[in-house]
Amino acid sequence: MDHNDIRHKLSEYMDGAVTPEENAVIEEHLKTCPLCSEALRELETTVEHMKNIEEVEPPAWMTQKIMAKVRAEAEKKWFIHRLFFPLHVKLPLETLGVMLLAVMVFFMYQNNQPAKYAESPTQEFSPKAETSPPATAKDELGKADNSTHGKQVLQKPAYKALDMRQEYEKPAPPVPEGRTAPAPTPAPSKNEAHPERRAASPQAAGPSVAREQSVQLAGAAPQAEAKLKSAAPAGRNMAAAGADKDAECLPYEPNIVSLAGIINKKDFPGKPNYESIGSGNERETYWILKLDRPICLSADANNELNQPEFGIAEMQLVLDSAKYDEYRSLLARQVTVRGTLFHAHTGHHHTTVLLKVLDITAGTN
Amino acid sequence: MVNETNPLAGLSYNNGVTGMPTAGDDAELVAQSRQGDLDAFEQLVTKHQKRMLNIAFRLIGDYDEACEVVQDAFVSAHRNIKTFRGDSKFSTWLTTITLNHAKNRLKQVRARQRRVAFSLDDPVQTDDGEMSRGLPSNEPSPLDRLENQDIRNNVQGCIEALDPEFREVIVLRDVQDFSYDEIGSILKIREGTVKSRLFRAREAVKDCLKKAMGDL
Repeated sequence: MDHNDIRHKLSEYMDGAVTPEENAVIEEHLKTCPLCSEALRELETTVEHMKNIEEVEPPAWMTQKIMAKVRAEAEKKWFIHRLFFPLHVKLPLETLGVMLLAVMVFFMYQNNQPAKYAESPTQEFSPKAETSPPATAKDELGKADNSTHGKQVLQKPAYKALDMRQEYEKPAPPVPEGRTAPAPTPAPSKNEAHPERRAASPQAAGPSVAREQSVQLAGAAPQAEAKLKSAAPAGRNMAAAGADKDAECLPYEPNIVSLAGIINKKDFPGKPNYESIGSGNERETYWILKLDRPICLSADANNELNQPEFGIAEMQLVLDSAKYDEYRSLLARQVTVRGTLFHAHTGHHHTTVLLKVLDITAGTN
Repeated sequence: MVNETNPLAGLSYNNGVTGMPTAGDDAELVAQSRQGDLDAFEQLVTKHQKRMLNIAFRLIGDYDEACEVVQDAFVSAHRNIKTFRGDSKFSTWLTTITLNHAKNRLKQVRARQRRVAFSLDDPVQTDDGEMSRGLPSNEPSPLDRLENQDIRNNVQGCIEALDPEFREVIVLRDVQDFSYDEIGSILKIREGTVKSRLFRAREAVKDCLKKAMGDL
């Protein structure tokens, strides 16, 4: 070690933190080096001053203040401990509580949802709740018909009520092939009456034929039917006429039209959410008539919902349960369907235009 | 490397000025504290608070700030006492916590002083410590302030003039009498680094005192 090394080691030497060999070398050097001896003396004096530096005393309140903070923290910790420990007991209990709460909230939500839906059907469908239509010729209709259809023509929300009741094909036991459909049972349903009979005595008509009936009361339907009948012998099918560019488009209800095509069944999601059959909603099966040729429809001056439409190639058929049974044998066959047309206006209407069926016959008339 | 006979490696941290507690019975009190015994922890507070306060005070230079630091340090120690493994002394562990709190507080104090200095837009009023931090022994302003003051104030002024990394080493060694390996353990640095920092710190304080007092 030279002078500089020893000069740098003086701090350690003073603390006795050098090896015995280094200690001997440093002591030997100090005897002959006044600079290093002076530096060591100054260092020792400096350290002595620092060791003698006066200590400060903690304030009297220090311990109490520290312990107050420590206790406050400990109490907070104790509360959390009480809340969660022992984990194997309290955690399952708390989890159960949270789950029960979640289930409760879920059911409350579920109960609120259908309540919204249910409001209008009970109101609209109940004959007691029926409101009387405005005082016109429809007053008489209201008296003659206990259904809400007359009202529905006038008020949009009422259509929703109609939809809720609209019949789709119930999943009935399959009818054996080749067997004729059973005769319609005399159900108390609104749909039982045959259109012709209703035309003869409007007072007995069911609610589901309100559109037709309303026109029959005005005396328009017999004219339309007569027109159709006179046109038929001339070999002019209305469907064909609709497809013809130059020909007039078909009229909406209450005019009766005959359309040729093939009927197929199609499934749609139903209650409760009308979203997807796979996600637990009911299956609603409707019959869809695929027309031989597309048709167009002209606007209905009496009902703004019946908008003009073009290129209609298929339409949902509106039938009651008796008709479903009666015409099931005609599925997937070439048929002619007679009935009245109306425009889709609710979620239960799956085609742009729907055909309310009077009767279906095999083949093309 | 520390000699086996080196007195600095001893457990005692009595610096000869006041009757400082010895580290002896901490293990029992620590064990009880870990079980949630607040009375045991209070005994630890009573036993160590003065030393922790002096360490914080020498590092920060402000008594009130040092008191705050010590309170925070003990609260932290109680919160984390279950993580204290006992492979070092409780006093060493506690000193580490106190030093960390003191250094954080020092940064806050310095930042506050800087903001005040800049907002006043008056360079003459700048804090002495700030001005002299880079070259503590060559700055005239601390010396002006130290003139006609007691030697103890001179020593404190010279310690405050050091950079924090040198200040903490000299406080732990020369004021609080910790051994080299304890200092290395507290500051998480190697013993060689402790020695070199201590040498430079002592030289700086020596030069500072010589300028303040004329001679040693």
